[in-house]
Amino acid sequence: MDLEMGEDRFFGSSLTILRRFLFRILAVGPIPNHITFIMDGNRRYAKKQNLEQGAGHKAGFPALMSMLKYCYELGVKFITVYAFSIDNFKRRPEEVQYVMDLMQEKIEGLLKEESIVNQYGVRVYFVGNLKLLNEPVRVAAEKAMLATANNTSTLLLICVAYTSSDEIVHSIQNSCQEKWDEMQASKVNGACNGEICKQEKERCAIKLVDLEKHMYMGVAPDPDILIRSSGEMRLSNFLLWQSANCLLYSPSALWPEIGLRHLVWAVLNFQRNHSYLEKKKKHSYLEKKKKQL
Amino acid sequence: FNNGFGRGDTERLSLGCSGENCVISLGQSCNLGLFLLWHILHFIGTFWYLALRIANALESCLISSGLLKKYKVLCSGKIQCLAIVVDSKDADQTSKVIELLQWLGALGVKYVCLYDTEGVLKKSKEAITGSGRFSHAKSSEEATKTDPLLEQELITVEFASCSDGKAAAVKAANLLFMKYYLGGEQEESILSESHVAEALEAIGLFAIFFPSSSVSVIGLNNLILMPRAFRLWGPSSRPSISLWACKMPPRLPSMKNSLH
Repeated sequence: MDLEMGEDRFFGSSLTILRRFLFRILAVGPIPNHITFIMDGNRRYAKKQNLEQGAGHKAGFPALMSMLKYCYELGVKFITVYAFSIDNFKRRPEEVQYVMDLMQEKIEGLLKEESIVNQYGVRVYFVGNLKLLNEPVRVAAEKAMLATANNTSTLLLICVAYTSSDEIVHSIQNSCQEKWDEMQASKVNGACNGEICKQEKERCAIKLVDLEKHMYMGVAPDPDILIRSSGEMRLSNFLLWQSANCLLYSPSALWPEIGLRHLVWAVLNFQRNHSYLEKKKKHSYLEKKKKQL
Repeated sequence: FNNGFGRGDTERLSLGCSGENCVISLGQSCNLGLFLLWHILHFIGTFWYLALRIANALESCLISSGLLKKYKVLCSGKIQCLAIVVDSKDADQTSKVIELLQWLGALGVKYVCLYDTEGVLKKSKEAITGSGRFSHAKSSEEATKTDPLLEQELITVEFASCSDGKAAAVKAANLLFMKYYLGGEQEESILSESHVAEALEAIGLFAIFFPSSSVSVIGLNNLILMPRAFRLWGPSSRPSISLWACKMPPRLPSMKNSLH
């Protein structure tokens, strides 16, 4: 028994050394700064393995932890995962409740001493319309964000109750409110004799930088790679605003089956196309500056 | 790349070393080794993609020859809207774009949205729609007034560019601000997706309303990149947008493959 455990430990350590060596090789080229994951295929995995309903999501959690560990070892600074879409609320109530309970359990697990969050100094953000979540999950999420607020090494963004269209509406709403408050403040200061003058209206016009500031994802740079498991070539209302110059990669593996080789292949593809992607980003940046939206 | 390997280091390696220099040379040898291994990994990737290209070329030949039965009849009725991303450098090849639209017409696609970042296709709009059985997409109000029989025979083509993405969202935001904040009393109600959709329609970006939407996007490039803010806003029924890449310049067999 002890011999078997010793062998397992030796095997595990050897794999870790090999993995870190592989990452050293990859680090010769450019490493993506921000990788995002759409964790698709949990239910299909449960069906494939004849598991009970909802068990696929539970099986997907170790895959998530592994991918986070690999990304942080590789040197990726920002990771975003699409955990729960607003559209997912339309699923059967039992499944939604199961996923909410699982999320609460795992969020509370993140705060434990031995968790990946403390191991790699990860700051956790929950991104989305959190008011749509039930109270225990929302409270757990807020607690996790507060507890990791001082971590600065890396960032983990977990998109819950999120869709891009909701994010854009939220951003427009907040930008309008901000501009309105600015105009009210300048009226109070006697800028235009109590009426909003033409100059004030022009100064308070909403610009692209205002919308981007109010995006849920405004805390991180645009993603470099978007990985969607299960082979589906869709974004499903995820990061539509931010994925303009992002490499899309869709391995056929279901989310619980995703592994190191998929991440390595994604990074190799990123490195192959890095100069093209950089040219596109530079072009976008110059255009933005020119238009000064 | 950050491997710290230079010409001077090679000389030091070949002349031999002692003491501190040995440690430095060993480090540089390791860097050289990593550099070589990195190239081997990328060579494997290149070899894989080359094999994939050969396989795709063979499949294209088989599709063209008509030997593959599954491509003989394409269920193009399932595709309600096909969006195609064209690189701006290639977008001025109007004849190629017209040829592409003719293929799509032959395949039974009824609604096509052509996108290029810089709006080159928009400038060639008249040349493209005037050349064949294509009609330029009108606003949703105008579309209901056209002759339904005529509509059946034409491919409707919509032209989009970068200015229809984020820039349009900014215009919509300003429109909403004018209407709900400056227009009178500040509305306490929260803005919703339908407000934004109305604002986009008001600035000339109409939403295409399909009862059960499916939008397919084909990127004319080997790389699957989401074009800059392309179609940020979809119909209110929230389509699933499927993405494919096919080779540039587009060939009919690879289009058939992607559509299938």
